Amino acid sequence: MGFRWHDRPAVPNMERVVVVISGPRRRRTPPWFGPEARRALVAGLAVAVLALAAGWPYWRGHPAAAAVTLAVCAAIAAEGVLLATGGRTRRTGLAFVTAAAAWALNWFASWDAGAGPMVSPYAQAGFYLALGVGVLLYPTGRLEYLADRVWTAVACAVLTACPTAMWLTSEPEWAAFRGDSVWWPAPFPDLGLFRAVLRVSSGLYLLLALSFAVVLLLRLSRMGRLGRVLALPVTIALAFVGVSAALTQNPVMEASVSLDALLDVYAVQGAVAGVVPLTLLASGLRVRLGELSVAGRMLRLTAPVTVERVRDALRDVLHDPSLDLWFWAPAEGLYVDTGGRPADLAGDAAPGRWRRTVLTASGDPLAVVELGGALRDHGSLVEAALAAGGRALENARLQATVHANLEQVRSAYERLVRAEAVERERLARDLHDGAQQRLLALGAMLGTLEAVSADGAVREHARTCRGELMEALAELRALAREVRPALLVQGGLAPALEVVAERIGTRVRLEVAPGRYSSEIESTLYAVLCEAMSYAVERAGAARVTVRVRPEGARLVAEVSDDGGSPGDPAADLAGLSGRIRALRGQVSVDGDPARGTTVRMVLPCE
Amino acid sequence: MRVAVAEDSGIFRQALVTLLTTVGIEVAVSAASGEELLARVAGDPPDVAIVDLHMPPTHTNEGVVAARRLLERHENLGVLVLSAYNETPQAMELFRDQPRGVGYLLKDHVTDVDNLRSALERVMRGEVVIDPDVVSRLVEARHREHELARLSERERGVLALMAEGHSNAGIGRRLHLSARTVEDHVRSIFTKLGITSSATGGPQDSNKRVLAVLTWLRAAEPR
Repeated sequence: MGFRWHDRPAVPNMERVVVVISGPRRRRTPPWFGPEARRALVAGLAVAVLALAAGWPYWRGHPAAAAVTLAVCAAIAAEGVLLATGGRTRRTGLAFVTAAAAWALNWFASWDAGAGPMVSPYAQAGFYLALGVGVLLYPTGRLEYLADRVWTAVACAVLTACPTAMWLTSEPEWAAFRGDSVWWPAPFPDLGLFRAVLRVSSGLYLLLALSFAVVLLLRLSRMGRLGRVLALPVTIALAFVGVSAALTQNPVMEASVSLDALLDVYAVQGAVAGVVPLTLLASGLRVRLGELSVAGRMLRLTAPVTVERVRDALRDVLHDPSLDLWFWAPAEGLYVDTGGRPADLAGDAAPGRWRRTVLTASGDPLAVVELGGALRDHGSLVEAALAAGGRALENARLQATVHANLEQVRSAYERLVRAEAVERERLARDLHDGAQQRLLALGAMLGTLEAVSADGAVREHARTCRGELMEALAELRALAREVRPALLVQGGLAPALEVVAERIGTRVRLEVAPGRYSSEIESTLYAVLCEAMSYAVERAGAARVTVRVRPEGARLVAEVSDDGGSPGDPAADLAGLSGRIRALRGQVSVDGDPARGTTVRMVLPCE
Repeated sequence: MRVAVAEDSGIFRQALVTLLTTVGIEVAVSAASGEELLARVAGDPPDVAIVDLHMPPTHTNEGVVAARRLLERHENLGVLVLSAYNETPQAMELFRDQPRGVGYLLKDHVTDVDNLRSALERVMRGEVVIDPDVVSRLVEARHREHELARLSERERGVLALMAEGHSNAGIGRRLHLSARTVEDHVRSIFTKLGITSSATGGPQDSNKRVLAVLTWLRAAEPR
């Protein structure tokens, strides 16, 4: 999985290094003319020569057709050889070379002698079959889908059976050839049967062409987005060639057509087939161009660098909206997502996904990128994009690390707030259930003493003690209320706020949805709402305060609005409140001016 | 007088039972929860049941639930609900509909024998009793201060005693006023505050009156 861009040779041991500096070897050929290109040229020339020889009688009268056909044959053969050098496209390349050779052989029909005329229909069939299968094998080198395999099998059967049936049932004259010079066994000549064979054959050819178009469309829908972008022109071109071949073949599928008419059709079909190498070439150029332009696009799309922008740039450039990115946070020793949250990347990627680790120039982990599996076929493009985005990725990683640290601080704060809420609850419970009940019991005992004692002084003393005790109880309750109001624990926010509203002395309108939340949310919200209410009354001098608390999906929204005019900056005055809300991953917005009053809006996530 | 006690705090229950026994009130049942009390008084109901407001399992309004069920099952039983806290909106549920023989007392005031005894006697007679501190908190909750300002000092005193559940005669005794004068004050208060109630006289009437006054006091503006 290890992948390294900016591939720098490992620094050798610095002691005793012999550095051999050799001058660059002189190239006698330009860089694009390598061994592959030379092989392709040779193959193209060879097939062109073969086609020239095969169609010589016809070419003499039709130089333009000759030029086009020879060029198409040469182009398909050369393209086949180039494709055959790639690992996965090897089979496609071989199929194309076969197709080019078959098309050249097809032209032996023009000699109107020997075995050429009989072999020609097989060669023509072989040409289309090889071209079609070559495209179906592209780019994986396998017939991946059931439809591909079924079509290939049916095409093999039809394209073998039809030419065979033709010479089995006809005299050469019926098929546009001279009977005395051609080798044509004709074991069962029957004009009626031959006509039927021709009709059935032309129907089957058309059916093959149309079904091929359908198979191509089916393949297209299963490809990744990038694959689709590249395969679409070739698919359209090939479907066009197939259907036009079947249609142009139709007029010559008659008994007693002239040889010239037949060869004219061949010339047209060959010219149309020239579209295939041209579109393949265009697609190839487009891939290359994409790889070249990817650097510029990455640079443009990632400026200024943010974590999300780098991810979105990669998604855009690689046409993969499902692409995901995690950065290595060295301090924490784990991968984090674009939001800074730790991610568990142990184990393999989901099926159909492709996960690559990206290393820094010095070989340390930098990021993990997960792509759709279809992009495996465009490895060089992915590499180009990652290489181009290298600096941006490193910068973004810094950002992700900062996010991760922030996230840690925030979750620590959150834990603190939670712990505080729990601790407050425990303390409040101790005060309520422990100390308070004990003091109340003591009060009842003093009451008993007061009731049983006959001594007036004792009774008076007990009464005073009871009075003191009640004072102590009141103080204890005030303290407990500060810690956490009993009503909040018992009844939740609504009744607790009701009591606060009663005590606050201004008209407070409460619209608090009933419902219970976690104790840290309730106690935090209670505390900040109390703060906001007393701010409204004491600082802003509001005459009316409205408090709204309502759940909105997975969030709890609380609003305190007043009609007061704050002398200062409400947002600054309420900073403590904001901190507590943010600790629970909530948001606070303060809006208002002296004329309209102030609205504090708090949104808390709650499960 | 025979009473039954339901209180989850053992130490306070013990002290309360001792106090009651000492002043000559028979404690027939002493239970740790409302359920237990309901089960144990079913066959032989006492005169008054004393029930803690906050009991297990939720410590919210178990006392109110137990009180309402006791009142439903035993016609002549009085119920006195105790709470350690003044701020208990859920306790007001006690006085919904037609309150009769119900009391709500803060635990602080239970330690005063005279207070306790008088509350027990009143609920036994079918009166409604509300702790003076609860009433004064409602009166002091100033969201109706506007309207309350229209009342005279004396009228405010009468209003508070009305809210505590006292009859005209009771109010008259406490404020040293004649029954006729109290009646005048009550009528004037009702007119000034816009409270409509037909209740003026006997114990049943004064219960309805409590309800009207409580409702008015608790109604926050504008709800």
